[in-house]
Amino acid sequence: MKKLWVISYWLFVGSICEAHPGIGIVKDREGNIYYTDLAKVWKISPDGNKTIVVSGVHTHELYIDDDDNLYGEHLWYNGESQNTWGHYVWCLKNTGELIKEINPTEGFLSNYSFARDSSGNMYWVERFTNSKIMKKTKSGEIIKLVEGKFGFIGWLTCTKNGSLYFTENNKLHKLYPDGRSDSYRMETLADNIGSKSTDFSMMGRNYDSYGIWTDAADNVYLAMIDSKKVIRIGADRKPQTILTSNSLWAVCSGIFDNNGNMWVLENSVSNEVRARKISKEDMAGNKTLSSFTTYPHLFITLFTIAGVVLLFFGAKSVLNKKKQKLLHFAI
Amino acid sequence: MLYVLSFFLSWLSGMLTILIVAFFSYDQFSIIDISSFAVLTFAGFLILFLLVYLIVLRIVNKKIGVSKQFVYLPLIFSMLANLPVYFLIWKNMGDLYGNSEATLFTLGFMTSGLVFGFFWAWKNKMLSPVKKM
Repeated sequence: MKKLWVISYWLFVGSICEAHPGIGIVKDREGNIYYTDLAKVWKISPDGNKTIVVSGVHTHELYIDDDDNLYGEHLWYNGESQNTWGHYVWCLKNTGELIKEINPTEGFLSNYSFARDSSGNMYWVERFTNSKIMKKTKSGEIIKLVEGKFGFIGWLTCTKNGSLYFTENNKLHKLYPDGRSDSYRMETLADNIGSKSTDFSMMGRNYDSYGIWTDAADNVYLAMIDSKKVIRIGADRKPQTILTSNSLWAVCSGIFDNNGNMWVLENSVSNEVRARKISKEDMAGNKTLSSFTTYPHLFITLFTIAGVVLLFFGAKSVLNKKKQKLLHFAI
Repeated sequence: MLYVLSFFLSWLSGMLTILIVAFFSYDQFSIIDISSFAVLTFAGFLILFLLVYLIVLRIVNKKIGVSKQFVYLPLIFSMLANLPVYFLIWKNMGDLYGNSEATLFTLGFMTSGLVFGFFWAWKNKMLSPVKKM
């Protein structure tokens, strides 16, 4: 029995290690929020109604253009015998039509990205000994923006005006056009963002920064996946913890809706995914509030109380019987 | 039978403490949270029970008189016998879970220890006058 529990524990820990959650959460002009759970793409309308808009797609990222066309990919593994991967890129048009932007292709997506600015330029990271950040213009021209011996570079985020944010170990960098043509400047916004984590934690690497997003005031928000919190880096460049995620849920990414509320994409240790709204009032008060129901919690607590009471009376009855038995023998 | 009952009563009391404290600590506590806490505390308490509690119980039953057991047993089980667990909770804090989860785990195991101690003190007190007859 003990062995079984030890095995269960390590399987549980193993499930944490292998997790590679998505960061895809976007909004359209009407205030609908779209997010990926790595199997489906969900839409939450402003009235809270939740529907599946694309199913059967394993996509980590999403992109929505100014016309509300939604983009994502589907990535799959062809099994150990072939040991190859395949992908295609889909687009859910604003008319509701689902088309394939890139047909099924072997391997991973290359020279293509969901990190785009409002002009439709794409940006991605090529991670090698010398890592590069690349840009593909709408005309198809590919430009190297920066190259260097970086540490581990995490997800890349692009704002509408073409500013790029990315983390390198425990540093947050900003790469932005410096006004001259095709020239970019890199600036380190913070160099103490990450908390060290072990191989047993969600990311299984040294630092735990994950999804990045910004607000209207250009504050940068970072999902710290292992320490289960969101930090904000404002103009003073000091990381400030603004949200702590609930126990075994970890914030992976986020976005601000049209009303200034923050939506966080959370992943559980059993790889369930949810989007949680933090209202701007709660954000102002630095609280970790949400409106999720606690009914299961209440019912399970009541059942547990009943269980404790039953066990107590059960134990009392056993003890009384034992006492009677002993009295009988004593007499 | 009493060992099994004391195990389940102690573990369930610890779990109840976690559930009640969670009402005040969190704004949401989902099925996943509850089942994860339940599995981890159950596994942890089972190992602790088999490797530490039963041995400590055997020793303290011999060394401490029935009249003092109501004070010493809960203290010993919630503090001393739980030390390995407290150490592991503290060691993994920040890596596998945050501060608030560590607090819940600690409170849960502390309650389990207290209940286990009280249970055996109560059992010894209930059956001790009979032995004297």
